[in-house]
Amino acid sequence: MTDRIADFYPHWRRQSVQLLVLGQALVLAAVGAIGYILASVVQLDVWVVLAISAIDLICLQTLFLMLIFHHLSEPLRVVSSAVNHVSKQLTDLPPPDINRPAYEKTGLKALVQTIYDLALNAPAVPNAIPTSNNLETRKQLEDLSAMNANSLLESLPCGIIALDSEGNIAYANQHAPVRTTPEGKAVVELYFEKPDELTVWRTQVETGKLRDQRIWSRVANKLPDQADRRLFDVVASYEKGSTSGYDTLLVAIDRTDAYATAEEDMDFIALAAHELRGPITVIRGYLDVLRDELAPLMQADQTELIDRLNVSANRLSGYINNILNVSRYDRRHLQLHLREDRLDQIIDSLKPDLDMRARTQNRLLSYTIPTDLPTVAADRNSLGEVISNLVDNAIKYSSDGGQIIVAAAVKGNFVECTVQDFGIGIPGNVVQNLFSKFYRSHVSRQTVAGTGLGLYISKAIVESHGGQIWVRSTEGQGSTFGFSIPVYSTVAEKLLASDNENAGIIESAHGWIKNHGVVRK
Amino acid sequence: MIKTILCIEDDRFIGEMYVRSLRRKGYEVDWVVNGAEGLRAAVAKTYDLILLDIMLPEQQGTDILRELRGPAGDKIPNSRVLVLTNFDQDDESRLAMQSKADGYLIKADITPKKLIEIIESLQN
Repeated sequence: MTDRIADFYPHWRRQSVQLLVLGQALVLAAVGAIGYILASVVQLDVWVVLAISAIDLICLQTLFLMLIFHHLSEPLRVVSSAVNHVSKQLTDLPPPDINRPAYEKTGLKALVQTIYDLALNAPAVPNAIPTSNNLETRKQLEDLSAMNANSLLESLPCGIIALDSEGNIAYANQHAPVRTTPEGKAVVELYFEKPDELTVWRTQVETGKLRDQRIWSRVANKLPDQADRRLFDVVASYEKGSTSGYDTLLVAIDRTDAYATAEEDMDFIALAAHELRGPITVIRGYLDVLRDELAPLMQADQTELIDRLNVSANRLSGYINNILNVSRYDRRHLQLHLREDRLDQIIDSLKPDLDMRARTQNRLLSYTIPTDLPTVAADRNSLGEVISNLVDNAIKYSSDGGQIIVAAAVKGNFVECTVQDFGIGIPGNVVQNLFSKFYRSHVSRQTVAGTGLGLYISKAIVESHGGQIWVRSTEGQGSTFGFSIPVYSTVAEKLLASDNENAGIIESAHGWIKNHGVVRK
Repeated sequence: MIKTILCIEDDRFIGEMYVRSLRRKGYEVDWVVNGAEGLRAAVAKTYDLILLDIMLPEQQGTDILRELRGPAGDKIPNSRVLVLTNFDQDDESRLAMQSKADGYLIKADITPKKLIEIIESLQN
């Protein structure tokens, strides 16, 4: 009988060594006895006896080791199931029966008893599933938290916002991204990718769900140039008729530092792309100069070669613009300068370049653009980049001599522009990925060059116009990409009202004002 | 009617490109390669149009524009200004617009032919 915990292990070791020695001796004796019987009684050949003895030895040894392992690991088994029991983790293991005489004798009972005593006196383990044992403790904790709930929330390093069923802020702790409007109303100060994303989500879940959760990453509380700009990951949870009285809870985790590295990477990309613009300017410019000055001297095939250079330089320039736009868009820096414009004129201004691209790559490009389309609210350069990207894709994914049709039509309050090709088409299962960043078609990876940014940025640009981009495709028969942008008269009021300084600029929540290529007259 | 043009551009290739094609179209073009000289030239003679780069040695294009059309009044009331840059950062461009340039263009997007078209459209 052992009572002292410290005595358990020496006792156990002593017993184990005895067992090992005894067991080993028994095995050897058994093997020896079998060998003796086989050799002298059955009178087998000495080699056969040796072989059989070896097999005996292996079998008996294995059996012995299994038994001895079972015995030696018993305390470990008992202790771990005891610890498991007091940890309150869900398990199928029954608690150990510590009242077995053997356990009492070895001192294992005292060991387990000590574990139970320690567990009873210890404070509640976090995450423990409450049982009758620690109800008391839980009650105390609740009292404590009721007292400290406020200071607890205030001291959290993340922002907490509670919205009532009307969507008004009912509570916000000190780190919450909230600002007060001139009218004195507190509003959530977060710039989601789309300005009304939070409201849209709330409206959706309110009508259709009892509870829901949504996570947004990289949401800024300020516009890029404003002071104290932080980047948050925002977790929103909704519970209809929640007992707390607040349907929607927002947790904003400040991840500014983590995202800073990514920002720096993108700064580098933007910088690198800017650097590329210098040589591109020179290449495109001098090609222009040369084509002009050498025109009277050149043979038709030489003009064609210059055109190819031109087309390639223009495409390179387009890719660089895509990279820069994506880098701006991802940092919420992309700004659009929307003003009244005509789609047919925008396309006209692109025609020389598009025609040259199609001609040098042997595609038949045609246009079906009515001239009586209503005017649209557009950023000419950006929209030009969208159309150029779509035509570029149509060329890439169609074959030599293929036809490409650029068309436009009025659809309700929108003007819709489509680019149709009769090329390889897109399988249904990849259509949904088409507008993601760096996505390139299944077949294109090896065969067609490109950055995989074209459709991603085109979508961003079109949606920033308040329009939509889509694709319809049949594998093997071709694809039609289309986008819609609002008719100017439907947004004119918003356009003019939102900006007093520069008439003709829409300023959405992102402050879209794209500023390149603007010519004031 | 635009006839005389001052080109402030430090990149020799780009400067020569604009000067060459503009002269072929019959414009009178003066070309300077740094900001300080550009500012001097812009006030010394009345140009119909000033092509202004932003990243310039000695004095940035934005500073030049502020000097010319800043708070001290418009020193070049008879000139148009086109800002030409490859570095279209938001601050910079907004400053340029606020300092009342007549246009803001990305060099990489503008070939000499397009530049001439834009200059012609400014005539009206």
